[in-house]
Amino acid sequence: MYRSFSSADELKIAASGKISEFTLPDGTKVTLNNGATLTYPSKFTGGFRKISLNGEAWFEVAHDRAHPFVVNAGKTVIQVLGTSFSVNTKGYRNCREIILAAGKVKVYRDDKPDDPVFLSPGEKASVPADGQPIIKSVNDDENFLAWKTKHIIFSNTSMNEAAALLSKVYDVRIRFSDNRLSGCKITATFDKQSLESVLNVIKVTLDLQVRYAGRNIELSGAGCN
Amino acid sequence: MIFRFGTPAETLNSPAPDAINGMMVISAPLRTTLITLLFIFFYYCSANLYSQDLSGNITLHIHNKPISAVLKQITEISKIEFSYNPESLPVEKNISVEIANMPLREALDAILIANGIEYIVVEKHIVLKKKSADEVPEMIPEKTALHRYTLSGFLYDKSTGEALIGANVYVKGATIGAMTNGYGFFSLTLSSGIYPVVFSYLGFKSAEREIILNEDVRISIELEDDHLEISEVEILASEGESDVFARQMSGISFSQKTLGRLPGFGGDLDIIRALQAVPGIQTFGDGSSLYYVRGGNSDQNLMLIDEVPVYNPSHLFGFFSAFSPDAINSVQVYKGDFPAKYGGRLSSVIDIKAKEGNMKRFGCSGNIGPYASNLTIEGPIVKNRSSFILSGRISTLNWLTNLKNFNKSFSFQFFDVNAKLNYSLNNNNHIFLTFYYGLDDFSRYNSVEVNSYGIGWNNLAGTFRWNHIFSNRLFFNTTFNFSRYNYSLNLPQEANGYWKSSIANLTLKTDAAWYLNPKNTIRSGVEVTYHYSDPGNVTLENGNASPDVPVVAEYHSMEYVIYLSNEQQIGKKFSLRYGIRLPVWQDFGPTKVYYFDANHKVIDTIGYVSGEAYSTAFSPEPRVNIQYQLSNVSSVKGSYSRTTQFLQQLSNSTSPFTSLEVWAPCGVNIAPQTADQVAIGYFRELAKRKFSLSVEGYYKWFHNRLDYRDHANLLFNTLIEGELRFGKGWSYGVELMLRKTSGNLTGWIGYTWSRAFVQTPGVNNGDIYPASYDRPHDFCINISWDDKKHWLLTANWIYMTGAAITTPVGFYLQNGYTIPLYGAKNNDRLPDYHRLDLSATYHFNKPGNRYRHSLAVTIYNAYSRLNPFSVSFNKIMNDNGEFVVPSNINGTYQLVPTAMSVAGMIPSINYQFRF
Repeated sequence: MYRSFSSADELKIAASGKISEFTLPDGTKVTLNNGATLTYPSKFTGGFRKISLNGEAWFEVAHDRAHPFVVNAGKTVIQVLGTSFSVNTKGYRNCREIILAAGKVKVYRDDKPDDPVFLSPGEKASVPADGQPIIKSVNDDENFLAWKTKHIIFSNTSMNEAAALLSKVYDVRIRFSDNRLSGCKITATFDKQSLESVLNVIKVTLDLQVRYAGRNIELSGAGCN
Repeated sequence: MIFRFGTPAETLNSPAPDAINGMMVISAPLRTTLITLLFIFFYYCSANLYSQDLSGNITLHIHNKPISAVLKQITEISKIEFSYNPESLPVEKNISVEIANMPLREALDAILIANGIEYIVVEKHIVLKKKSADEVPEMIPEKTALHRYTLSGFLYDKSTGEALIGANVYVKGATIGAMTNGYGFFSLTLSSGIYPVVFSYLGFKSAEREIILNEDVRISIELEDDHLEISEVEILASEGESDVFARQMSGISFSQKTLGRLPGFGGDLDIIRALQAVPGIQTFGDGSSLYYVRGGNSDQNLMLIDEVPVYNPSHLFGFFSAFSPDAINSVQVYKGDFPAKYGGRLSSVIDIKAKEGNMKRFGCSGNIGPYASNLTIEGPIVKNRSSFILSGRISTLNWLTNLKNFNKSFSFQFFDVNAKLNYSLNNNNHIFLTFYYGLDDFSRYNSVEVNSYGIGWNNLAGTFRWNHIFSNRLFFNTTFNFSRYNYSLNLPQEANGYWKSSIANLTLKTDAAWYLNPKNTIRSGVEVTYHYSDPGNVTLENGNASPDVPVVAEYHSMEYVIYLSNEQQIGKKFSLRYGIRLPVWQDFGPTKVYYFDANHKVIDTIGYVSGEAYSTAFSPEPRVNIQYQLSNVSSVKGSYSRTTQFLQQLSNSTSPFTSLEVWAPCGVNIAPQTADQVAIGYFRELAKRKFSLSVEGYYKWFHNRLDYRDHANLLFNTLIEGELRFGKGWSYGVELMLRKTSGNLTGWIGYTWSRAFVQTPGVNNGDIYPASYDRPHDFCINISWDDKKHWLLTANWIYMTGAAITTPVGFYLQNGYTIPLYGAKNNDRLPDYHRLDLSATYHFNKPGNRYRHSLAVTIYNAYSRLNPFSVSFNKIMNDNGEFVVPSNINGTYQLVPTAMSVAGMIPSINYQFRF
């Protein structure tokens, strides 16, 4: 993680190479995923607490009703009303994805502040990059915070999805040597285990072989019928 | 090979400074070494180790739900996660489950196997797979790179909390196992999995536990005493008391249970007497505490009690061992194949672990008899955490001296006291404190009732031990101990003075065992010892040295040892133990050293000041043992050991009564003695493991063997080292033993054929002669019958070829004196020695009662054979038929050889109690 000065009173923090936790001047706890950057003023002044985000981060905002916490993510604005939520500016199809765990948030495009979407816990807002309206849905992704908690739940999950999630969580590239494998399904829960440990279990469950080459991992096997 | 270095020194005339009660103040460099070492060892503070409870039993009541829901339920209860491919298993099939309090493994077997699902433990998960027709499920898959975890802990006696030494821990149905060490600790590293683990020890009911090994597990197991029967069916398939599997050869071990059945005297277990019945170990005869192992002299045996050496293991000329048998937990005897941690003596090590004291409740036991009585009190200080044991014995012999027709009055008395304390700081740290003191006094009073001649000895020892478990695989024991033995002879002529010799040592050592994996156990240790010896000086009643007798210089030495060994399993059949022990010995002043020429005349005297080193010796000792498992009931073993002895006892008498005992270290004039021993043996269990047979052959070479010139004078001799001669010795033999350790009838039959020879330049004209302890035939049979209710009967019969002695080959007359003419040394034999002991013990009530008592009748030497220990050629038979030394020296007379023996039959009746 490094800090830099982009303007006289603005500070920037970024997570490079690993997940980083940080506390903002108002007490808000931020966890930045690898590659994310967050810009914030050295001191919050004015009616709002404004910060900018690029990438994926998890927020636990400190209560301050008088000064709402505002996240500027690209052209999306998330106004927070004391809460815990996740923001990802690089979601599916480049959507900005906001998932709320607790509290309440208001999400709107910065050029359309009167067209907000309010989220309740367990709900997700997807803000398409192309200007389409914000889509509100129930969050069905149990693993949205797996990158932080290392708690992974596979429930009748296809290996394609599983490999994608593991790649994201452990910052590796998992690929299949054979497409037959991608259709295999698995049910298992992993909690704070190393990648090798998780792959050991999956290996025995689905009769796979695992080949490690640095950050590239190749899975091969007979597949499942 | 031995490396020796001498240090040149200047001649000084300073007198030896005063000794403080015979012990010198430790010199400064020494103090630093000791303090540094102490500091290093105490650096390791206690650590809190995460430990997990054993798998609990589960209860499930589920009616008609899919298997996936059942699995979820199990995960909730037991926190175990499952992993499976939902498409290949019938997880949506509805089932009903009614399980009450079942171990997890059995529950899984019931639910899954019935539905065609098999399971395997991988990491922290249970992976479910479809049952394949051709594959055999393996509990311990070798191919997947599974993590390994360690199961470790302690085994205790449930009723007392005493550690079980040499107990077995093994996976049921597999050949993987471990044995508890001298403190009851074991460590077993396995791949992750669910294992049925068995804990067993002879005389106790085995326990079985299901262990889910998906992380390191630490447990504490208590085994229940097996009062009613030692199951004949369930005899151990692994190590411990089974010779076939033991990683040791040339030895024998006794646990608490088997000790109780050994021959005793006066209703008491006597260690030396019990060992006499073991092939390869011989005592001289009656009344002697000296014992000889595989052709080694009596000073070549090391006896350790709680890791501290004891110099005289007996009271009263060998009839009573030096410590109460009630206080012993286990005895391990090594006649060869010495593990690298033992050294300092050439021929044997007897490692005795004393009991720690009942951790659970207060107890008291005692033995009241006509010759000696003992009392033991033990109990917890903090229940299950700390306990003590206090044991004392006192002789009650004075009535005996009034019985026989002694025309002078004698007084025999002895007592010993043994006190121990132990405390568990936490799961990983235990400390033990032991204190021992034993005293013997044998005096003869003349008619004036002033203390006349007498001999006495006392043993004082103490140890402080600290067990530290670093990780589940690393066990450390650090010991700090001291031991002092004084032997004195009262000399009424010397103004009521006494001659006293003493030997003492102060040791700091640490031993580590690293249970790397089931195939490798590495042991290593470091030891630093200060040795002190006073070869014998006279002190007057007023405390001053006698002016008439020369002062013999005392010895001070330091010994540094480091050792390393590995016990390795190679494949399923071979195992190897290899190691090296590296001792360094250094002698220090203040002392006076005499240098001799080739004719043993003094040519130089050099005095060394306090702390000045003058002689260093280094003697590496490789140790190897190799074993091959021929079948699951037989094995073949071979070993090679080199041992070095730096401290030897100087005694030119072969009398069984320990006469003037003088210990001298190696130095300028005495090279360290070494011995090389090779042994090979075949071990087999017969008749469904009821009997065990062992056949072992050995050959030993002794180098720099200590011997004495003819008519050596060791008393008050400052030039004592000039009386010594060095040569070589060798011994060889075959030992057979058939043993039965279970059932109502137990015991063994042993036969040894062995020879021991000596060759010393300057002695016996340099010709080979048999050692005095060369006893070619040694046969022993020991039987005990225990009906497990009231009766315990034992019989013990020993037969040995007579000891080698030198007898005159003729006589000649000169000036009216008859003078014996001697030829070769040890040309003759004493009459063969044999003796039968019988005992019957009746228990008044059954095992399981709180108060137990019994009456034991023992007959030592039941057919009263007067085994001679000495033959004299200076007596004649007078007109009354008595043998007397002729008072009228003039005139011709026929000398008659007469023999002296110690004792005929000695009966005893003892009352024993325990509550």
